[in-house]
Amino acid sequence: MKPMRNFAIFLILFGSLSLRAQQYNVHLIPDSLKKNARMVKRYDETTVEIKSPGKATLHTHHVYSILDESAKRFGAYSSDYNKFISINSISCVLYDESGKEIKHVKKKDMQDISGSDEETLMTDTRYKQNDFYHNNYPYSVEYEEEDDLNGILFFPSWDPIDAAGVAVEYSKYVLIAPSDYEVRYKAFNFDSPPDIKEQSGKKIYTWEIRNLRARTHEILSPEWSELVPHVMMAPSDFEAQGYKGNMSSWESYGRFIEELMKGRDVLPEEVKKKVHQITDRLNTPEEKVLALYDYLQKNTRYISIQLGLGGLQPFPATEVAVKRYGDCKALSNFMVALLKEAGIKGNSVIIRSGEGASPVEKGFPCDQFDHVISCVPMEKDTIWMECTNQSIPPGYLGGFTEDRYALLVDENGGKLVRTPKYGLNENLQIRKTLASVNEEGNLDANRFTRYKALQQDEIEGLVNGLSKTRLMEHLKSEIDLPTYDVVKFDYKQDRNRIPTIEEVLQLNATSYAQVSGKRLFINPNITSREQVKLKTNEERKYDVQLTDEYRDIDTTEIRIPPGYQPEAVPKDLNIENKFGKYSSSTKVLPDKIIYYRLHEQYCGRFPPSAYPDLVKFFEQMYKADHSMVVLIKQQ
Amino acid sequence: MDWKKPTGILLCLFSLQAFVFAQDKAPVNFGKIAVSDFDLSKYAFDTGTAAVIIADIGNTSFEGNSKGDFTLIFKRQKRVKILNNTNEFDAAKVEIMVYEDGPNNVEELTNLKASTYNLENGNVVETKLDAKGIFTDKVDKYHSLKKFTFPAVKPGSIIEMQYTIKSDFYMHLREWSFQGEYPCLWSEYQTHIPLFFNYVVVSHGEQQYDIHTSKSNAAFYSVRLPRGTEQDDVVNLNSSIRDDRWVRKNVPALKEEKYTSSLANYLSRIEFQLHFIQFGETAERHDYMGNWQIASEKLLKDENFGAALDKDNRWMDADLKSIIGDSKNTGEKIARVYAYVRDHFTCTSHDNIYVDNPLKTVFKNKNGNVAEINLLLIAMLRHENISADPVILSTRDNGLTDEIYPLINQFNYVICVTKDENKAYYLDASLPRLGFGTLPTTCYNGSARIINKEQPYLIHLDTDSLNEPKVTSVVIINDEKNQWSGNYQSILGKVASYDLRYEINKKGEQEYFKELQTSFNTELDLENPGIDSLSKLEEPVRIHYDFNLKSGDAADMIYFNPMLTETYPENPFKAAERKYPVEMPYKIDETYVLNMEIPNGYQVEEMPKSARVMFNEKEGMFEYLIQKDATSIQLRSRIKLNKTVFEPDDYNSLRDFYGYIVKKQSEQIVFKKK
Repeated sequence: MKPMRNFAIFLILFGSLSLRAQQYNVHLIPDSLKKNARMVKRYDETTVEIKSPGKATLHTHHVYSILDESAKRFGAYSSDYNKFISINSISCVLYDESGKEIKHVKKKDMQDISGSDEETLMTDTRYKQNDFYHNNYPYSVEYEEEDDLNGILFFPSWDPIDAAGVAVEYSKYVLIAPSDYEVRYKAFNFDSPPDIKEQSGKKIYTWEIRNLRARTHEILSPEWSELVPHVMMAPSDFEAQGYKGNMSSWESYGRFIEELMKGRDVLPEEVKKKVHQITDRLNTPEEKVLALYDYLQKNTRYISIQLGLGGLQPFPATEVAVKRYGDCKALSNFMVALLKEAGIKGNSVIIRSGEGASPVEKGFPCDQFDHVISCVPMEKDTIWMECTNQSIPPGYLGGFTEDRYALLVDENGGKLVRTPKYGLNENLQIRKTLASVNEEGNLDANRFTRYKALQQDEIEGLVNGLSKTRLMEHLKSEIDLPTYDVVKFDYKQDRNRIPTIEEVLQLNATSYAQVSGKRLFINPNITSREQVKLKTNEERKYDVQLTDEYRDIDTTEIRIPPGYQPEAVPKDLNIENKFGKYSSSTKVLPDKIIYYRLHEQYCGRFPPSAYPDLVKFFEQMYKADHSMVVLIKQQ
Repeated sequence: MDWKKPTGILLCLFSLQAFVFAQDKAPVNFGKIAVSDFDLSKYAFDTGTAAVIIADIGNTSFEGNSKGDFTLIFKRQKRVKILNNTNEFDAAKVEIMVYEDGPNNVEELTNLKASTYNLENGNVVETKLDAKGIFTDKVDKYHSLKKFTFPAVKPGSIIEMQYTIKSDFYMHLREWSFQGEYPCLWSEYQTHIPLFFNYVVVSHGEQQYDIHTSKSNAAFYSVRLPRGTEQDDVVNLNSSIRDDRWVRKNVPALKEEKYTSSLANYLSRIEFQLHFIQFGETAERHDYMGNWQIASEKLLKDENFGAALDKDNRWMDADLKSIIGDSKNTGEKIARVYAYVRDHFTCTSHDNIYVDNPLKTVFKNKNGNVAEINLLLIAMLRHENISADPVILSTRDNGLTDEIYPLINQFNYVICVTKDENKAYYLDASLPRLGFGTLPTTCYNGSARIINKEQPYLIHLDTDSLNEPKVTSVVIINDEKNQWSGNYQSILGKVASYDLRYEINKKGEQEYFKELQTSFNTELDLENPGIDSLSKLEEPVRIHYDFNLKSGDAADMIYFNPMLTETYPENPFKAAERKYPVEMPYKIDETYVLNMEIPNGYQVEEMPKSARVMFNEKEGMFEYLIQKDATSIQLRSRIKLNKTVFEPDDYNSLRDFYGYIVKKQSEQIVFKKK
């Protein structure tokens, strides 16, 4: 009997091994899944087991087939760990095309990388990384990891198709929780509810999906998360480093954040004195807020240090007062403390930052944020303050945090608020250019531009972020002219809540106009040309989403040398459609060219069928902006 | 003392001359800040800076230790004034790298003190760095970063720090940079080296020292020899020492510019290479640097370099048999082995001359750093009894190497030299899609050194030896429908071919042509596009397509740029000034030939004039030759530069030369309706 049993075990082992090898054979992927795919998720599993509000385990396991070099990054692996996540094991396996194992790497042999970078002075998060550097495509990789979560502040979401060119053969997500624990999830583009089983005091929720084809990326399409099936997961009751909370509502989540900040708003005496010195003589709350914000900007700076619960909990205001630096939480908390001393109620506001960041899912309270700002709700409106930037005008948010939902935290908990949006009437670029062109085609120009709201963001960064010398160097190399020099420049900032910057630029450009024999070719649009040309896609599946809204107005006068007559003048163009408005007109007088241009860009969402019209709109603008006045010398 | 006088371009001699200037001492009293110290108005420096270094002073000396050896003591004091917040007070962030080699062999950072001084209501207020604000970040096995930022920093603050690093690694006597990101009013380095340690001093960049003194002194060292449980022995040594002091005042900030291979070549700094150790004239001399012959032998014996080549290589028998196949000819065998390694291995780092893994492991893993991959290639060739040797070099971005002294740490790249009956080949198998016998442009950094037993010799790899011809020809005819249709083809140089193969591999041909279509200024429809020789890596790539031109339907006038898209739309040298030489990766040679029929029903009203300009007489040439007959127009445009390095003095002419090209190439032909 004995040998027989061994044989059976051997058979089973052997059987499962060969089955595995076969499983990961790239040739077994159905053709339908290979279409448009650069990577196929052969197997993808995430299991979260909530043991208690303060403890959980996370098990992830995936097998990806990397079909070509463009999917190289999916073959690599990176996993972070810190005080909240400890990695118990990671196993990395490389398979060749036929599914034969070539290489196996264990956690101890993986690269261990510091999480600090240019942005972060110090963090206790580190990374385990692996790259097989394999370059014989196709191949497959298998990664399996077991983690302990010490405090459950967030769970990974289930996101089977997380990028373009990714197809899915099989993906599942399992969430296990004590039966009495309220599990929270929200599905998008995915109709089937999870399979729920109950056994020995636990509830097991399982989501599964098979055979999802790869999607292609289309420019100007909506958020990826709007297009693909995914399920968000989050804790209800949770605990981290001794702090307890509940995430079921924005209000309760806000209360947790408030708890973390409690008692951290104490200011040292001399700072308190300073606050009164600054504010006591001022009359209105608004004046006081602006004066204190000015004090903050002049006396603190942004330094990111993320240690322990520091990822969520701010340094105490006392510490900021001494060190005069802090990260976004610490500086916002400090700002709120300054306000409090002046008898004004301010709040920290937790927000997701970044230009064009995907919107917060407001129907599913959980930690969707990465930044903190502060605000003072006033009778009529609210004063918003970005506390990590020493030059941004008071009350202005800029593209980094404008127009989005954020969580305002106060003693009653949290509530969702929306930050201001800057639109067509705010985002302006009004430009007037007075220039002259001589017979050699050389151009002298004085350009006056008023940039407002989002259109001034970049320039504001340059003006305040570069010294005069560097700014001059920048201007001398970044303008789209063939050969030119900047003679003089000047900037005037109007630090309003909707700020403007006035720019004066004097420049000369050699051979701006082309001289061919007796003709002069002059583009009357000197520095405001549309540079975008959209690709004509054969097939458009997704809506067109335009997110930028702005208005550019140009008036240009170019003096021309005597004795020239127009031979060709660009036709005036007026377009008005759902995407925007464009008009240009060119007049040639005996001694000068007068040019006018207006471009209004609207934001909005349009059906896929609108795409060709948008391509055409940009094409027309491009063509008009690159049209030449042809002057011919009279004999 | 045996400080050899080197003749290499970057070496300088310890000079016994003492240049004594009016001001011989640093203008600071560390730890004591007076109100007047905040006023820098008497100094002239680039006001465009965010911070200015008032003084940066380093000092290295030796100390006997209790391990029977010597310890290097490096002390540093630095005072900086913060002028504004334009770069977010970057000057107030400090990182100090410390090295370790095992738990008992760690550099020790001690005595770190840092303070910020602010002027508040006419008083100097000091804010000290809190020890809790100092962090240790482990970078890898050998390196840790000590990091901190100064507290209470604002525009106008003075920040000051000092620290000491005790190090047993006297192979790495700390180098000193006189120049950096910020202008520096006073940069000083002192060394106090007992004569039994002999270092060669290598200087880089500008070396106009304001002060340089070198004196002999006597010193006393006490070295403790551990004896386990017994009482330690103490050896007392009286030694002559050499005290050196270098000072540079008003050093401008280093400035980054386009077309510079490595800024490091221009950075003013000195480094120290341990030459030998000899305790007394009659004692045995321990040579650490030797000459190239010795260095080469050492490298060849090094476990992480040459020794790897001499290991038993029978494990590759079978694989090589299948790689070589039935090939008999040496040249063919070399090509096959090269192609195999190039196509099957991934290079994980192009910055190493040592192997981290045995070649067998490299072979099994199918990846490795550039040294591992090319040494593997050499081992495989030698296995087939083909002569092959390693060649070490420093890539362009890594800076120049010394040609006289074997300063191995200046090198960062390994390639292979091999030969068949007729010819020698330089091979680099670390880059996919690189043609046989081609080296990447980054290898062309002046010179390289062949490492062999017989005679390690220098070979030249000059950018001036790299020609990069590009020939584009366009034919335009009036087709049956009385429309313009044309054919475009362009044969690229080796470098551009390599780059294109890389690009196509990344995005595919279809996407490439889609993007090309949107890049045209004129309305042009692209047909039958194709790229030849994409996979014939030894041949130049040819891009070709047909096109239809929409020529302003029956307009009275047609304005047409005969260069089509092959123009320089803007001057590549936009900056008006230049500090360092322009260093191009190869010699440019671009030819464009157009043959076109005059559109039916039109005549030439006006066309550009032919022109030829020379750059600095024979160093470069641009010609634009255009002619017409009754039915057609021919144009030939050529830009040719005969060298790759242009001194700052020549910069304006170079900029003007390109300015002229941009202008000429933008000229138009005017066709008028008959």
